[in-house]
Amino acid sequence: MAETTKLEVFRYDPDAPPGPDGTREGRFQTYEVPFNKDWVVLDALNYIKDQLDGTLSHRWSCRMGVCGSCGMMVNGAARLTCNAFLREWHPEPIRVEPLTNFPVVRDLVVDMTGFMEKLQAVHPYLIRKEQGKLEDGEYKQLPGELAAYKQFSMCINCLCCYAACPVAGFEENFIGPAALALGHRYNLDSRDDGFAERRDVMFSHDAIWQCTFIGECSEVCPKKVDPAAAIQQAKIEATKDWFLSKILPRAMERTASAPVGPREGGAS
Amino acid sequence: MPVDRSKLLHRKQNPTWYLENHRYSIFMLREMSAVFVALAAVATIMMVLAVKAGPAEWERFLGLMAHPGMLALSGVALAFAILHSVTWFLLAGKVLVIRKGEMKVPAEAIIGGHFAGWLAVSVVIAVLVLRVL
Amino acid sequence: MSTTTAEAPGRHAPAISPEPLLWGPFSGGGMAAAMLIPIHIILMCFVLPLAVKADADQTLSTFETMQLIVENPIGMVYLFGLCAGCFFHAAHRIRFVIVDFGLHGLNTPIAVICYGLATIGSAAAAVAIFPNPLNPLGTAY
Repeated sequence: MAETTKLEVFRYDPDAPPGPDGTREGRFQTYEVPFNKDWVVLDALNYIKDQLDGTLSHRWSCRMGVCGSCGMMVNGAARLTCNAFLREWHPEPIRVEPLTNFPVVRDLVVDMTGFMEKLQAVHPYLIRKEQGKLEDGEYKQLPGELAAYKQFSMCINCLCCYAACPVAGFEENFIGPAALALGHRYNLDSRDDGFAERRDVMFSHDAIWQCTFIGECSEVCPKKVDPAAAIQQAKIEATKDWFLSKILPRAMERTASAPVGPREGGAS
Repeated sequence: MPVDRSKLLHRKQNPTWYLENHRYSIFMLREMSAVFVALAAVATIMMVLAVKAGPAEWERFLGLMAHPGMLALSGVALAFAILHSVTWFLLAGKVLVIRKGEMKVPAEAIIGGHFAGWLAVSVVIAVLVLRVL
Repeated sequence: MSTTTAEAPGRHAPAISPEPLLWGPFSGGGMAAAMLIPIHIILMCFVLPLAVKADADQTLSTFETMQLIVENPIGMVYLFGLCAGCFFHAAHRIRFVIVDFGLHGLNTPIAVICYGLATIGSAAAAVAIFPNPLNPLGTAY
């Protein structure tokens, strides 16, 4: 065999009996794969799965940083494994673990249920007070109106930001970076009237106010969404909203008028 | 097939997570700068009381501040205060959204404006207190 | 995948948080501290003490300048705003540092202690800075 590189891969078998005190534990298994300077960690994992050990479980799909399926911890950092070249670490061994701050289903596969619920909670879609007629066409925007939120709309839900967030690690109910950034993205959208709908969740104790602006979510984001900035901007909006509601309660009632819900297929 | 939630593995966060990478550590130092910011405010209150009590107390206050131990503490406090200023202005560039016409003012301009303002305010205060003009 | 939205985080306690009341002073005080505290430390802790130590004749001239600032209404408001801002900024950060260090369950009592101390500190600053019968004008420190 030519040059090789070692992968220390986290393994967890949910069907193995738990320990005597009921605790479950994972372990690391070392695999030796051929070193290829053009390979990413995902290529190495697929090589292991195909050639060395068919019992390994991991998620992946597009292999090009678009689908957001293959986020894992690579030597302690949350990365898309399709974008993490072996040559970054070679000849040092590479330790691959499932994303931290998520329960592990099996091996490198994490349970996303909690995230899906948090995502739904922020109503991440256009909410209109009045639904436009189909024959009137799309809701139009100026370039500046698009620029106001575009960065925050690039999220691919890879969950690297949750794995990088220490607050998400100890506050299970923290709505978290990706969901809050997406909520903020719709609040910034000129076509959207859903601010009052999202306010209850986004400005609650478990949401923006848990964030201490550690900023690691933005460091690890493969799409440069900058969720940390979105959350701090939302804090400014929430603070303005809170003080305004104390000074001008009547004006606030108007912004809370009933919306008609998401427009089908209208979200981008 | 639905996930059997009873079989999920829950891994605990490392309690010393802030040592795991240098950005976490800088974050913790940044936050702890607040202790020295508060101490500077306490010293400011002491200074006001000293000035109100007359020249003798003012001299005693300055003597206390010139003590080598106090100078060392002041040095540490100044380092943390500057860490706070620099990190605060850099983050302000990410957070503040200022519009010029239709487009956003770039973060670099906002950060540069904060640093320029910091310098200007510092010079004005120094000139007022030291009466150099 | 389960869709039990009843357990969705944030939904069982959707009350808008009064946190802006604390975050507003935190960020305002943080900006004031970032702009002003370094030059304050440089002047108060280094330049003035060392200048007077080197040349005792400067005691009176620096005293007169400081007296002008301390007895000027604008100076009073400035000094009080800076001190109170610093205290509430520090209270907020210290609260979350303690929480981030691992005392997650004690967020509320820690918050009460931190903001309580900031309130006491700001009250002390008001008493020291503004003319009032409580201010002893003596060797209080």
